[in-house]
Amino acid sequence: MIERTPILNAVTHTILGVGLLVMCFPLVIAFVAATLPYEAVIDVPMTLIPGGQLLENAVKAWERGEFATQGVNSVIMTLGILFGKIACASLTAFAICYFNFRFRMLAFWLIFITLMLPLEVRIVPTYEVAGNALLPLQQLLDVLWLTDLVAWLSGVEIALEWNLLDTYWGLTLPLFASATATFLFRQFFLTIPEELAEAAKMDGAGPLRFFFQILLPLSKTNIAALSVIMFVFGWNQYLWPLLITTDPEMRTLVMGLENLIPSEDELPEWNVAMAGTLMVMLPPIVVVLVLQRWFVRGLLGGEK
Amino acid sequence: MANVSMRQVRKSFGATEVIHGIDIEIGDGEFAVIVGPSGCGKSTLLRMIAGLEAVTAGEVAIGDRVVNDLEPKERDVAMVFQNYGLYPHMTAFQNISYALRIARRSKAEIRERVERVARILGIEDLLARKPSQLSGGQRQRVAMGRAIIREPDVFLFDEPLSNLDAKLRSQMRVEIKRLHDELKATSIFVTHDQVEAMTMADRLVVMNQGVIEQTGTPRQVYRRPGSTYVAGFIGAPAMNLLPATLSDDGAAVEGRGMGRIALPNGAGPDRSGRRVMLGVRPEHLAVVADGSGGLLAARLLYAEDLGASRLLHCAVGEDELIVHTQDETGDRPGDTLRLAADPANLHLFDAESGRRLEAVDGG
Ligand SMILES: Nc1ncnc2c1ncn2[C@@H]1O[C@H](COP(=O)(O)OP(=O)(O)O)[C@@H](O)[C@H]1O
Ligand SMILES: [Mg+2]
Repeated sequence: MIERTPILNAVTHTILGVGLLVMCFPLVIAFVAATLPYEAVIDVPMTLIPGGQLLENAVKAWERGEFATQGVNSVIMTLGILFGKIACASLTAFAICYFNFRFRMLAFWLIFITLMLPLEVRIVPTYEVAGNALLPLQQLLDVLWLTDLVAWLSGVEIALEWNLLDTYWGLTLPLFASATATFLFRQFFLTIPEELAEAAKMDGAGPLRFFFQILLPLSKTNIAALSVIMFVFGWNQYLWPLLITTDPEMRTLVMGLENLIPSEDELPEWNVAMAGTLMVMLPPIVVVLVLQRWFVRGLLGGEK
Repeated sequence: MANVSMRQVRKSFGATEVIHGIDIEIGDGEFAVIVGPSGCGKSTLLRMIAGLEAVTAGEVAIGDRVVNDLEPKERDVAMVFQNYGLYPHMTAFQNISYALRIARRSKAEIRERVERVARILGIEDLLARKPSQLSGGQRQRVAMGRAIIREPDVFLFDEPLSNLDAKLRSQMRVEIKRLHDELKATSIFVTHDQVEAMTMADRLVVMNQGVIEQTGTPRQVYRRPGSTYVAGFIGAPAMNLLPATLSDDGAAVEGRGMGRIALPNGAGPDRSGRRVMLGVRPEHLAVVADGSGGLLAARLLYAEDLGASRLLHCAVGEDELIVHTQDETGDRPGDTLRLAADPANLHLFDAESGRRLEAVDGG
């Protein structure tokens, strides 16, 4: 809809402007606070003119928040989730689009409806499984009386256990499944002409070769777009890491921010807290800025 | 090199059968063209030979191997697709060499073979380009290169020229034929274009709604179409078909607005009174002077000038027919023309079944 009326223009711009303010004001405050010395940040009302202490505050936050360890954890978790999700989703979509098996549509719809079930809904059972990732298998064996059978035959009690608590697997594995990503891959695969798969078959390419040498290279933009979304998603994980890790060595940056928030019996050093916040926010912003061209292209689904 | 045979081949998608029991025998080195209207099952047939589609019933054999249960790559066939099916992210070189690379041939061998194929097709300079940087005709050549390089027993073409403009199409037609003469591999070419079919085929297979209407050389099919369907499909403009009735003695036909037309061989008395379709090709009709007998009288509706010749659209009673003539007489719409044809060029078909009545064969 393209209208050329000055009044409407003014109204839309006002709305845009207000939106921008609402979005940016907290960021501005955080930024200004991060640049101020301690005395200035506890002033009421706080000044909106940036000071010159950004670097000092950042260094302080880095040390106090143990950003070195946590940064590594964050990067590992984020990349783990990212690769896991993309591997999982692309393979699932490949199966759904290119293989004709029974209950194919059922599988697709089952995956699709999990779109409506975010992690928070299933967090308790997921936690239980994370305590022993082989629990479902164990229960299956129990139900089938196989445990008893084996115990009776060999005297060995089957007790499968794979504890994910306080491990990188625990941080990433339960978040691998992604209906959104699967769906995006599926939609993209559906746009790839069938002739391509057939030509590959005639050329003697098996399914895996077709997947890796043809489908994945063609999905480049799609993968880039997903990576952006998944990077931000993974980086910002809070609830799950909080639940699954108890060891301070396993904390992530987003969790670590909590340490920087002044408690009652400390100096309210909000300048340090805000400097830390800015640093934690930085990677997703950089990723979005660098990859935004790909991101838009991938979501619009066009080569070139 | 190999012959291709299909025996009682059927294909169903779910409950709908689209190929209803087909028998074909294509000889070693032959260039067979399967022609038929869109949706008649040509691609399905081809894809069953390629192994891209399972056969529901019957047998497909290449050489002396029954290939029903073989994977496409095990069948030693190559296919050129309608939309080329080139890998968009690979250069022409990579596209052409993909099969060899999968087969783990040596770098030197791949390079040498790609270069030879590129030379045959005249695409040496395009090898570094991606499909998006190629024109339609060039893509077509790359797609052919991808098929040729494997040196298969059988080439399959699924309407490979339908995306090209008219000029390029006729050029590629000649080129594919030339290539076939050079490589001498058995080729099966699918098209809905009867001109392509006529000009390229050693053997023509006319398909309609999942069955084969007729096979033969293009000349045979043109001279003696086996049914009204084939008569209407092969040859342009299409054969004129006029409803008529066999006379009592079966030696002539009578129809609306055309009087009695004697048949050279007669149809035999057992068919007397039967309703038939009288067929005559536009190019076999000639305008003759008034009073010199002729076949029938027709009223000229309008004339189309093609330059080298003219198409006269005429009415005979309620039916229309077309005369393809090189005469340049100054006839006008509304004129009555007398038309004549060599009785040898008359075709007779059963009005109900549409099958050719063999006893009156003129051809
Ligand atoms: N995968 C399929 N599933 C269901 N029906 C199909 C499929 N492929 C082709 N058909 C049907 O089979 C018939 C023949 O198709 P096709 O072989 O592509 O015809 P042609 O190539 O002669 O145009 C058509 O009616 C088409 O709708
Ligand atoms: Mg087709």
